[in-house]
Amino acid sequence: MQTATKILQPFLWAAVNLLALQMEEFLHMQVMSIGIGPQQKNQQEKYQQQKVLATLQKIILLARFFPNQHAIHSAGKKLLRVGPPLLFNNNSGIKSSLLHYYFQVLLGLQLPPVAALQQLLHDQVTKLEIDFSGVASCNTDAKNLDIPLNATTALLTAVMKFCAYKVEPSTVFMSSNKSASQLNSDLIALLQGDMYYQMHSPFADQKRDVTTYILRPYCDSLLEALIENCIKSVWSLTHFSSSVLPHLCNNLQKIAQFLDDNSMHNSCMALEATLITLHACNDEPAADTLDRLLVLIFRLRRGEEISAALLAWQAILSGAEAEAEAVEYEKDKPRLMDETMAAVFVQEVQLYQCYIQNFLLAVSPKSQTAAVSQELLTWFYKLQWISLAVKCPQLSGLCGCFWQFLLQHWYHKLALGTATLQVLQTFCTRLENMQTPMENDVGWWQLQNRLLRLWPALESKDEMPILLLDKKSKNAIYPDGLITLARVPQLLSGAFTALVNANRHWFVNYENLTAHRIYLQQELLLLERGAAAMRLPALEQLCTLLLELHSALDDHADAETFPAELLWSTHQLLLNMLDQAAAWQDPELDMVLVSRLQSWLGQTVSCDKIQLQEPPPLLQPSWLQLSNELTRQVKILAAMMELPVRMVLAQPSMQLSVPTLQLLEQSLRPLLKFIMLDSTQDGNSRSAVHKPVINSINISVQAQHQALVVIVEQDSHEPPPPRLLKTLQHKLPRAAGKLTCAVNTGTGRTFRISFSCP
Amino acid sequence: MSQGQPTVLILDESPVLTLQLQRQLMTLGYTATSLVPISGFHQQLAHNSVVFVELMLSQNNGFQLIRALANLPHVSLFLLTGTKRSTDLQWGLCAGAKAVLKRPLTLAVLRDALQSVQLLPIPVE
Repeated sequence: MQTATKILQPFLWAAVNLLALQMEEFLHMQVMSIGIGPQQKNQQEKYQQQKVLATLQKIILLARFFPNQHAIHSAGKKLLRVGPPLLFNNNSGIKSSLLHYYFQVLLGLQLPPVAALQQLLHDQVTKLEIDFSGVASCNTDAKNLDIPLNATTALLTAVMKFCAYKVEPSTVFMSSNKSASQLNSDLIALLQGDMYYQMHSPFADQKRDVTTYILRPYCDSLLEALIENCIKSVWSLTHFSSSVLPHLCNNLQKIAQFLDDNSMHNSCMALEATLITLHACNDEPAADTLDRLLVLIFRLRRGEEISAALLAWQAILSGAEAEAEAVEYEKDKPRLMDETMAAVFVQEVQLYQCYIQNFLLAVSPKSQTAAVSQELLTWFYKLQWISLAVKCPQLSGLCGCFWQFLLQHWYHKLALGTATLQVLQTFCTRLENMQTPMENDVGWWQLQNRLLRLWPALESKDEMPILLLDKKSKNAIYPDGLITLARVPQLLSGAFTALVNANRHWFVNYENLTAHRIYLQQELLLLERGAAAMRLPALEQLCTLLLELHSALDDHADAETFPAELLWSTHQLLLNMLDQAAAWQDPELDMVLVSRLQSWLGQTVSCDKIQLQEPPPLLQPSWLQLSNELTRQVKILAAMMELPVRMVLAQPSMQLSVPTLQLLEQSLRPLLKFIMLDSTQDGNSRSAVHKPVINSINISVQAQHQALVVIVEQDSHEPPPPRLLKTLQHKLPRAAGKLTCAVNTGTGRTFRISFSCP
Repeated sequence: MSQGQPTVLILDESPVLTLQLQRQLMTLGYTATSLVPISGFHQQLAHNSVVFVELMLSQNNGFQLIRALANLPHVSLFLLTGTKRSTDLQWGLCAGAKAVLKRPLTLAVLRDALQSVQLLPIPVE
């Protein structure tokens, strides 16, 4: 612990300075908050508190990067407890105690600086002080509060650039003669990660687990270095132990230190103990030792808890367990060699072996690649569990690994390459030669090691943000409806109350369905987005069709034309497909039913086309007429551009006069035309970023401060260039106010036009 | 086996896993039947009040089977899964399973599951 702190001292100094600056800013804001006059307090207080809270979060996060027993680490925890109450209390006594606390933390540290970083920080601090003094001489205007924040951001950016220059994680643990800067680079990488997190992450206010999302990439790089080291060593236990062991142990201690509240901690400590046991073991290592070690490190790298496996291995290495196992084996021999079970097992394994062999025979001789099939996935799933049932944990581990590996390929639509097919062939041959389930084949570790080294590095994609929930939806538990891709299945599996509980009675007639339709539509919208996020095109297509069907029902409310049977059949198909998706199988569309659905929807479209030839004049328009007219316009443009579009106009809560409706029509027509013509992102491009193929346009009208505001939301694209926006403004009627366009991280772009109420 | 003890049907395509579960249930005092392949299972339903369904099947899947059987009032359905996915629990219960049991199955887990639906008398201490 002391050695680690000594090594990291130069960098700790930098972090302390950053921490000091953050605290300074925090105090400064606190003072300013007190200085705000009572008349301004209500207006500025909330803004002020949010800014200060953000700074406080930075301080706490920075503090977490120090070792567990470090004064700043515990200070950060303490600040987390006392900070927020302080923030909302202007009592001067509490303020002075905070000052005391602040100095106590800083005075307790005497750390040597790094020259370059010190100079950099000095310059930035000077700049920050100038900015701060500039703010102090001004009024406490809300805008001026941005200056210290911007200065701090500039500081963080500068340090981040400095860090990026220094970071060389892959070389950190490869050599025993490391320079001071190399020794520091790991912790610098940590801080860099935190800065990226703070400055760029859309999840900053989602209370994400810091350990998982910030420390994990750092630990991954350490483990990768560990694996590389093991692989590159000319394997000899003596050589490995004497030259590299101290570094590896140091490495593992460091990971464990940072992950004090994580399951990885126990695994790292157990791994360190295993390495030491291996070193202490005088016997010739078993043939599979390296493979076994690497497999366990790989599993740790993937976030699995491996301490139990390591402890069992240590017991075997020490000999005690082996003796016990031998006695147990003799005692239980009749039970373990259960002939019935063994025969059933061998028979079943042979069946799977034949299947896999046939799969390999079907591989294209030209490309030497193969797509993962559902059957292949199922066979390996079964093999995993039947091997465990007959107490072959090594084979079970390998098959489980195969299953996960194939699942990754299936999920990311990756073909199996030549190297993987070779591993599969070796596995198949070994299965064929296996005579009894009790065979302890050391080759399973080797195969698993080979397989793990072919693992696709795609996990990071699971962290990409996905727009899944509408902001207005009651399910919207995340800001802007954003969620990580990895969490989509979990959210979806609990989100379909209406769809799952729907029964036939709901779909019997229009009146019955009306009570549930809004919930069904909401869930279908969510499902459509979820299916797009998870790349399930068949499910997405059915949702789109069902939404279209629901939106067309108002014109078929009478018993004769209401499509009760079609609705129920499609709903059942949807549930069936949902079950398939939940089991991670490819959902299959019933093409006959889809044809019927499209045919029915085609009939309703043709009615629209007939109406299009003679458009009703909007001299005395109603909201319904306006809505129909705009929808028709969008449909025509969508058909011409071959661009799937769904437009929803929310019924306004207030009564709109005829002149207002006319004004809305005159404003929305050019805007919608512009939006449609500007929609260049085709279905493939949208799918590539996990968005539904269909474009969504949502229009709502709201009354705000004696004015009417039309809000048009579109789930894609960047804001139009100012020149185009200006041109568009000229096309709006004079009574329309300024047209604005804003881009939200999740919801795409939002156009707003305000009118003074006619 | 005591009289009136519910009979169990296992719907799993794997003979090894079926045999293993049969033996475990036998230890708990049940008689379990199984069908490999499982295609004709509908005829067996009338004679069984407990059904264990494996999630991963080559045709259909456990969720679909459970949903199809969920409207049978006399049958308690248990889903068996070894995927380690948290969504299996949510979706399995949502489809109509009484409980979702994770592999590897232990006698304790089986006993608890059956007791939870009052299919096994809780021993008096």
